[in-house]
Amino acid sequence: MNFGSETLLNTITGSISRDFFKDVITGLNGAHRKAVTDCEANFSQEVAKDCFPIYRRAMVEDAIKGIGRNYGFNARSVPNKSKSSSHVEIEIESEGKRLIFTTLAVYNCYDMSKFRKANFRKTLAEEAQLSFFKDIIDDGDGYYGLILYGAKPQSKDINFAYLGFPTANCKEWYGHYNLNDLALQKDDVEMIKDVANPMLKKNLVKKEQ
Amino acid sequence: MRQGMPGFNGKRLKEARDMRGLTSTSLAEMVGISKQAISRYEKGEVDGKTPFTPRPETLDRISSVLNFPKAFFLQASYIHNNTPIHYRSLSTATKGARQRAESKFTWFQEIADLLKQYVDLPAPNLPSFDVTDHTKLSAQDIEDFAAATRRHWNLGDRPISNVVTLLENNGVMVSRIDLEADTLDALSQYADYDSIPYVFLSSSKQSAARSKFDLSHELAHLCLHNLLSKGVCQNQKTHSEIEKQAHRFASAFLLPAQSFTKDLISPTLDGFWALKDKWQVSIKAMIVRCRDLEIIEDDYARTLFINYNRRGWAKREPLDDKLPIEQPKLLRRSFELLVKENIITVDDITTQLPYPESALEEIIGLPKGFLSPRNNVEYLPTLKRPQAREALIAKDSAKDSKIIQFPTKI
Repeated sequence: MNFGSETLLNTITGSISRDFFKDVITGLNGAHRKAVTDCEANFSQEVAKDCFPIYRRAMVEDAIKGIGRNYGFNARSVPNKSKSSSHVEIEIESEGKRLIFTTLAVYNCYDMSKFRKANFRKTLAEEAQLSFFKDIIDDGDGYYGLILYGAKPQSKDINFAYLGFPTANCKEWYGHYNLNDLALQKDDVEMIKDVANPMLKKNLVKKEQ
Repeated sequence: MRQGMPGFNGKRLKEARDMRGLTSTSLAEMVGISKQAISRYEKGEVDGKTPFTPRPETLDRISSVLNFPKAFFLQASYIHNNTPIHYRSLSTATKGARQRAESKFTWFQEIADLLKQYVDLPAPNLPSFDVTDHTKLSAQDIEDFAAATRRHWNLGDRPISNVVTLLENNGVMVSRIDLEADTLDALSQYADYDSIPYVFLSSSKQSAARSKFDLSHELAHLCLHNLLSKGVCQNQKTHSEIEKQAHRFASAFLLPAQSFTKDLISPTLDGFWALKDKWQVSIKAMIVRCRDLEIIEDDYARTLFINYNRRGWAKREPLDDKLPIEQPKLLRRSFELLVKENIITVDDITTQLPYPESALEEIIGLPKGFLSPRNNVEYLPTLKRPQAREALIAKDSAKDSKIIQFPTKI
């Protein structure tokens, strides 16, 4: 389910509260649901199918920007070079490092087919994750991560949400984490003390050696 | 006059034969006697005034063929409890599989009886809900009883780190053994003579989550169904109802509604996967729990199960190879203490409990060879790298080996 270096995972969990990831999942689900409902309600089936991805992207980006701001992160819309469109980035400062997240709808959580088409992602990956190539992760100045999500066709709920860190060449994942996992407080358990110790009965006779 | 074996117990012969899964015909062939003789030994038929028993040399052969100590056949049968045994099993579990499990279960109780002569064990401390008619229990009653069980042990509503330890702390005797049938998961019983609860868990599934659920399921029988009669528990229809109640109790006990749903952010397979790491309950059981709590609809649960099967999780779920399986410790600790303190010796154990040593070790949870160190190879050297082994084989075969053709049929 999860893979990636401890350093990267510690940087994420050390600087971002679990509630943020929980809210991101809830936000993704809410945005996806609303997009499904609105498209179904307002358009014919064919048109709804065409506009759904664009509409959902808008809903998701808006939701994520709001959640980022709620947590005091630098969440903003960034235009592309030609200013023909924009994407939302969430930037988080952590111990001198920058974490930058954008969102991406994919077919499955490891899918990279759509990923490389957007120049801004490639640029972000190259700029933020150049250090990965040199194996000097701790000296790099930031990490670029993608909030990956997707749903089965006709489903009103998303069926996965991951945080993926692509390598700078955008061909592999440097780290890949289930958001449900990042959102969970795992050490919160009823610890059972082991006190089942048998006691010798009194007046037992020991065998001679 | 026949020279039989005094003290021979035919029921023990039947028990040993069942344990090895042999018919009386095949045992007779292996021992070199007639099938009728086996039958007469087992039934304890009387030949004149004396019971029909095997000659000493025949008993030697029986003992050797069945791989049971000779003393086993000379030992009186254990007086069985009258309380019902609860099985967590599929309906496909064979009678033979149940019989074998039941025999080992009896041995388990005999082992514990011996132990109790020397050591004080934690006193049983289980809640009892005085259920005399299980049909009157509603789903909400079961939810309430599961919550009351947690309160009885001062537990909050978070995941339970170790259910085996929890039950052992509270006087339940637990053993994990190979029940030799995929269709049997666990069994439990209250001993009627000293009110000690016993649980057998199957070791074959190798899943911490499933095992935890199995044990909680047996806990349900011990708390909810302890007053039901054997007849009620063995009846096919009522057995199915009782099993469903035990399932619901186990789910509610391990996944309390409020705290579990608080952790459940998205009821997706990936969402359950993340939760499994924390709650140590199988993904399948969590889907069922969500359906029972009406968090998800039946249709959605069905979709989840279809995708669950597609991912191959019906055979092996994620984390099954990572989560540590809870191991019983009480029996093992007791025997180690007795041996360490020179109260009894290893020979005393095998004399007083004349079962196959491997079965004793398994039931008690002792390391293999503890009871018969002389007969066991303690260390088998192995080559570290497969390449090294292959290189050796290649070197060896190049030296003196030759290919021998299988003879062909003419």
